[in-house]
Amino acid sequence: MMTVFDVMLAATILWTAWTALTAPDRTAAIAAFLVFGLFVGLSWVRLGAPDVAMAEAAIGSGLTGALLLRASRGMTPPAPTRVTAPHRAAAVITAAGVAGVLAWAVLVLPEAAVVYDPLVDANIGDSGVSNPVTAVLLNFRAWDTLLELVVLLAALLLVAALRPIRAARMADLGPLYPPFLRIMAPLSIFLSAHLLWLGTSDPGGAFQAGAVLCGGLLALFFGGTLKTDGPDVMPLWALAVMGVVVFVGAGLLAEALTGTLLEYPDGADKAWILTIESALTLSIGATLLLLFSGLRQGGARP
Amino acid sequence: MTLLELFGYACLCGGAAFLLLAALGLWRFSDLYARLHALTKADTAGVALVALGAGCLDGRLVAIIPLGLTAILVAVSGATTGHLIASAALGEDEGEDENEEAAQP
Amino acid sequence: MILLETLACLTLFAAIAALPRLFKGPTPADRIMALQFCGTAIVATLIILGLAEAAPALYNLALVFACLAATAGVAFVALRRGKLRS
Repeated sequence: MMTVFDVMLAATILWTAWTALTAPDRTAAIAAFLVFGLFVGLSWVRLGAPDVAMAEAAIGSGLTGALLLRASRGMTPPAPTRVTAPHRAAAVITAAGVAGVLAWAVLVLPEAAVVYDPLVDANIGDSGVSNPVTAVLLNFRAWDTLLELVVLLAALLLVAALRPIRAARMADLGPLYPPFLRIMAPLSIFLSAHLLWLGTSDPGGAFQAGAVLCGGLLALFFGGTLKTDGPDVMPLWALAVMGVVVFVGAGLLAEALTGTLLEYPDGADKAWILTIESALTLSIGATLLLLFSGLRQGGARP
Repeated sequence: MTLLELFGYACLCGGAAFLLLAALGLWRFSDLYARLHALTKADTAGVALVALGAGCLDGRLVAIIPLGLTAILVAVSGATTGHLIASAALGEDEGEDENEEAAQP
Repeated sequence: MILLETLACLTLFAAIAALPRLFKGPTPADRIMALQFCGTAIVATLIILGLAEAAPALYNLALVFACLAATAGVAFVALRRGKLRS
């Protein structure tokens, strides 16, 4: 019966992806892309990766949808494309060729190529947490995570440098929205903290918690409660930068204590991981919100 | 099978039925407002029944709390989105009616 | 359990059945509603899957999906360009 489930899911993913690329109406394309993200999240669950599913749903559906919608407001309607038959045939052959090579590579993969799982299982006792994903992200490969955060900060700085000064003009959401916010905002903060703590033993962790926090902040932003123009944006910026600063500081402190960069002292791994993850959660939430809302520079307003 | 398990499975089946009927209504109803009716039934009754059934079948506290919060959040967000769409659509309809009346001699 | 797996397939089918309205729906309001319904049906599917596979982590996942589907719906309404009914 689950085969039926998987076949339906796979067909729907292909269908929504096709529609997202070919829909004539831009809102339909964005909606199709969001739905594609939801179904791909479900497919991650079927593949046994709930952490990735959480991150996919949170970032792919919530934040990316808002970003795409905001970007599409300034664009003209999509022009009908004229693709000639040879062009189309070449594209089909190339895509089929790449897909075939990938499928062949996966099928001939030797069993001995799976070296990661036994290594992680052997060393997870030393990592301080019992969720293997968190152990890899925040302990065994913490350097990679630090660099990912630097990339996120760099993206934010680029967006801040390029974003026009106009603020988003949003529709008024009516009198029923503040009561909704009174339920949604505390719930998202609570859920974010819960996911952060849960990440040490169950699917969860800093990225997912940060993305959920961003969802709550976006809801506040749409209601006009949270503004990012003028001096109100400074605490958000501080939070956004804080993640990298705390992570680098923790790494240097660990080096001072144990001699190796990002090697946490024995026995205190969990405390170190949770401290870094708390800073990361707040930082990721603030960064994602600022990526969406942009900033206004102080002074003369248009 | 105990009575609680039977009740749980019945709730799950009822929730799934609500969702399927709402999908049918979303496709077949002819008017925006009628489709909103179908949508909100799925959000409130459908997910609430499914969460209730799951809570009956899996009775631990660590399961009931997320299930209850999910039901509340889906119901509240569905109601809010439905209201937002309906009020925006109603405002546009009334604006058009006023324009028509003003245009008449 | 076979009943739970069948129910999961049915709720997934309900989510898929909303897609024609999302692709066809002549007005943006139809697309927003279809998106909201799709998210709701996937939340229900996740709850039933969590029950079928005895994985309570999926209940937390359903809650996260619900949160983000709510945000996406509100984003569509707040960031709309033009009318909802045209």
